[in-house]
Amino acid sequence: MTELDLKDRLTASVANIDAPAELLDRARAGGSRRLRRRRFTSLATGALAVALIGGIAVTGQAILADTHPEVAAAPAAGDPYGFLLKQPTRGDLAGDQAYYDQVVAAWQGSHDKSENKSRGIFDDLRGTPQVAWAGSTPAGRAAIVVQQAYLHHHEDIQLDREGLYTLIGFVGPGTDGKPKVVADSYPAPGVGLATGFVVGDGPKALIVLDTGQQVGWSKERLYTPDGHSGRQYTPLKFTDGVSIVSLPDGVNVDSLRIRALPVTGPSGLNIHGVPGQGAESVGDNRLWSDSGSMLWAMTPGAEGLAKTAEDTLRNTLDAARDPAAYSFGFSLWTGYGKTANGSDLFIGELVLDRDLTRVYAVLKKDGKTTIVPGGVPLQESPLPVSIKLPDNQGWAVAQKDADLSYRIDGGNWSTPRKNALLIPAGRNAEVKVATSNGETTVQLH
Amino acid sequence: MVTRGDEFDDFVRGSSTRLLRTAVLLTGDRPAAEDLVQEVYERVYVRWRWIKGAPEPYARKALANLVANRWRRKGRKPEVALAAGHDRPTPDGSDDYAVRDQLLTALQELPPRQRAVIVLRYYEDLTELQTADALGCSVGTVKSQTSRGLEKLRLITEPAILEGLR
Repeated sequence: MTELDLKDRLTASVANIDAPAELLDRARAGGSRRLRRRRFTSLATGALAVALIGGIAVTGQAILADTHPEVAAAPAAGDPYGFLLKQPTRGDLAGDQAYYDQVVAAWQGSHDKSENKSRGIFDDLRGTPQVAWAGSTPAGRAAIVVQQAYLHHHEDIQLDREGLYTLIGFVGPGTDGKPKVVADSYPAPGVGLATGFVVGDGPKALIVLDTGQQVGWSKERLYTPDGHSGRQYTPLKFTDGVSIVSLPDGVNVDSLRIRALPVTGPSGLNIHGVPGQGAESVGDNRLWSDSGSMLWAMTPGAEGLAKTAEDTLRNTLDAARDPAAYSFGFSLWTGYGKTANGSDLFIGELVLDRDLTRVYAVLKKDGKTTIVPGGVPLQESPLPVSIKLPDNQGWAVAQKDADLSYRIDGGNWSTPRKNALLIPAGRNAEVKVATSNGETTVQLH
Repeated sequence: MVTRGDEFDDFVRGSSTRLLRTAVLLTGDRPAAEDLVQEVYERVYVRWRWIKGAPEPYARKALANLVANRWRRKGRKPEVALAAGHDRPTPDGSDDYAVRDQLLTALQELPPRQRAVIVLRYYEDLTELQTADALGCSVGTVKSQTSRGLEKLRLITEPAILEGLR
């Protein structure tokens, strides 16, 4: 058989496969969603908190009369922010006309800088901007402003139909103390609704708009000592149309999430500016992902595990991982071996969404499977993978392309093994890591 | 200025079947292949105005990376060689059928990088240089992966299938 024959056979084996007719529509819809996520306006780059400035109390009705004018046409269906036009300004700063003026000025001055400008959402604004909520937060004053716009078909915009929709602007404190629009949005079909935004340096607070459903927030994904992962959502309490969460110092904004409760199905809600809430969430920081599957024997006498090692590791970790993770990358390398007590040992890594990759050992004996988390590996460490196994089963270590050997209590070095190694339990265990860059000795603890 | 109008539509219509067939060869799984191809086109859609020259190489590269990195979307089961969802051709009585099926099955037993090299070189007809570019590796890697891939295919298929190939 020639190369041409192989090509012919490959061609023949898929000759009966044709692309479905709806693929183009799906690709366009998905592409539009991705564009919207990418271009969701992020005007703020880290606003500083400012001192809370007290407002001048006037009646809400007076403000309502001034800031809720009639609009010329009925909103289109699928206008999730439209209800904000039908109610008076809420929040503890309701009635602060001076603040309203600043918010509206900030809104009107933000359009040219908005990434949604290219979609034309500000081209046909209707009515006047209205402050739907204004309140005090741990980061200072914040507000939500809404305005109607007639949205037309336009490059990159995603619409069910042209029509009158309600735009929303999320406003936080700017560095000069004046309000600054941190995000704007329009309702797009098939995309999670932006109802949350963060304000302040740090950030200091998460503000979530009340859309009439029960909502929870989560600070971060939890990784438990038994190898499981997932999130716990704390129900939000809404007051005056929003819920304000004071965020702890050092919070990782990328890890924040909100979602409708109970936890079933997709969240449907987004926090503006937090990556990793949808299809753009994937990120690959795996230790060794630049080649195909790699199987690394860690001990002698484990050849029988080679065929099933990858599947055993993957299936075990898959069953324990956060089921709500949008994307996950399994290990492309798998170490396998036999421990002193006869357990099957497998090691590898797993990364969820944009989290840091984590390494794991899986022990299997008599039908019982145990996951031993090895934490987040230090990519630049001479020995990135070092997992202490329970029950005096030693340490599982790995470094791609390195010759690994060990010694116990100053004894002789073992015969080197490539890439991964099981080290028996013992006092003063050391690993010698030999690479093309030299040798390093690592003390195990 | 290039827009995402008719040109994008024409590109998808003109390339989707071929890209899908490549994806099936790379994954052995028709539903997974459709998902991957859709994702590729979504990425192309986003990047459309920045893609210089023909979009096919960009799409092919995106597909190869998606497969090689083995990212799984939510709810996706691990790939299975020629999974139940694969649209198996109806036996037509031709002598080639069994060999075809065996070759597809054997492909799925190759590591992803080797499989990608074989598919791109022998199905997509790419040169070693083009294959290296699509996979983001060196020509030397393409050569070695091709050699290993063919060798492994030899071992797991009837020798007659790859007889004469080096």
